[in-house]
Amino acid sequence: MLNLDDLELIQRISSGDENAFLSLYDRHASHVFALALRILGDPGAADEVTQDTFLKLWKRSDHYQAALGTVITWLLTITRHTALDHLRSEARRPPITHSLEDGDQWLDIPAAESATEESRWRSMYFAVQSLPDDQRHVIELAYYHGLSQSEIAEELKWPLGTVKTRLRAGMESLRRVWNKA
Amino acid sequence: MPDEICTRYFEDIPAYVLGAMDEAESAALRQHLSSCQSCQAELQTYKTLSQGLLFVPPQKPPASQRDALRASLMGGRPSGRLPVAPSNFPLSIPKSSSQSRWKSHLTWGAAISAFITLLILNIMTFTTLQSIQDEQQALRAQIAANQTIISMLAYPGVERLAINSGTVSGSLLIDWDRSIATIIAWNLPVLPSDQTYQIWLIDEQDQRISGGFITANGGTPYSSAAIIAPKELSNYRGIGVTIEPVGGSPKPTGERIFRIDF
Repeated sequence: MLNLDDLELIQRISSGDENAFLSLYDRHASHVFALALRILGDPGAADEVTQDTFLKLWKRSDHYQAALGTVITWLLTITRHTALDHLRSEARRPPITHSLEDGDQWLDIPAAESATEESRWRSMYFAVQSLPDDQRHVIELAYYHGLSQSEIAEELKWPLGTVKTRLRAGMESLRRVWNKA
Repeated sequence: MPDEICTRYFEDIPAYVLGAMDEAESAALRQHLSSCQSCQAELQTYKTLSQGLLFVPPQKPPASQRDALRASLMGGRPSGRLPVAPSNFPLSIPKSSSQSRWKSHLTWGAAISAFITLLILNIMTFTTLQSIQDEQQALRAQIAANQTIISMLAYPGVERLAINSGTVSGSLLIDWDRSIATIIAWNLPVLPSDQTYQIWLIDEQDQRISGGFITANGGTPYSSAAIIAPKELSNYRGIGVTIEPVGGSPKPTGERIFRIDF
């Protein structure tokens, strides 16, 4: 199974291949768990969401469309939805602080110049961390906490227009980094 | 670049891909996107960008997670390939995390229940087997005693002593030459499972030595047993039968059923 790519594993999973499923889990569980933990801030809840995510993958593997993105992106999209659902069901907000030190685990990943997908994502991650705090804060509240711009304005006691401006400015900065990567 | 009509929507696209727009605003943007190619291109760029936010530094999940997930999937099935789920499984399930927990708990619960059930069945089977073996052993002893009785009745030198004690009656057959004896007791009451009839040999010093057991079963109106004597029967002056705990006693402790002096 180790020599099969994600797409081949997904095809096998669709036909009920348990070993293919576990291979895909071994390959991507650390990314799924990390994103769940990033959103939820609680290892126990992240554990549950990771399991739920892979169960959904198992049950929906025939819905994957390669034209819409890679398997890992699809998997992480499911993770984000599942984690945000979890947050809403518990009506809680995780801590919003996040430090750059967490990126240490990516230091051994090939640099952006290698043009691998993950290296581009790594560049994106560090670009987010490099944004001015007010821009980064708004983007993280929206994406990782599932808040609307109105809710962010209320949370941060900022005018709605300020939130929109900072969010847009932050995303445009990221876009420039992305285009270079 | 967008025309003037698109400008407002262009500015909303970053918030849209982050899911940060209110529903009314999102609906208006979606409607515009359906007919504006430049905005669709812009949307695609930011969608790709937002996907980049999905990637955070990898973290190793708990070591137990893989097994728990596998157990959830297996759901008690023996092994091999798993069933493919219905294709209309929803992407967004509000209480999905607790579902997983319950799935895991249910799976473990089912496994524990199955284990306990198997354990109980094994104990019941073992108890039943033990009971059958005990019955077989008693039947073998009964058959052996009956065969001895038949052969003794056919032997002219056998002495017969009568047993008369309340409702219990019968015979004690003694072959002095061969030093063997058998008891045939009629109407011996069936005892509780924790009691047995024990046969005692009474010597000249009035000491009692165990001579075996006789079992009353409800299947036949009589019970029989061969007497096991450590020495020749001429060393004894009689036998007795008492009720003792199952397994027997070193000396008589219970109610005496009958006694026969030679």
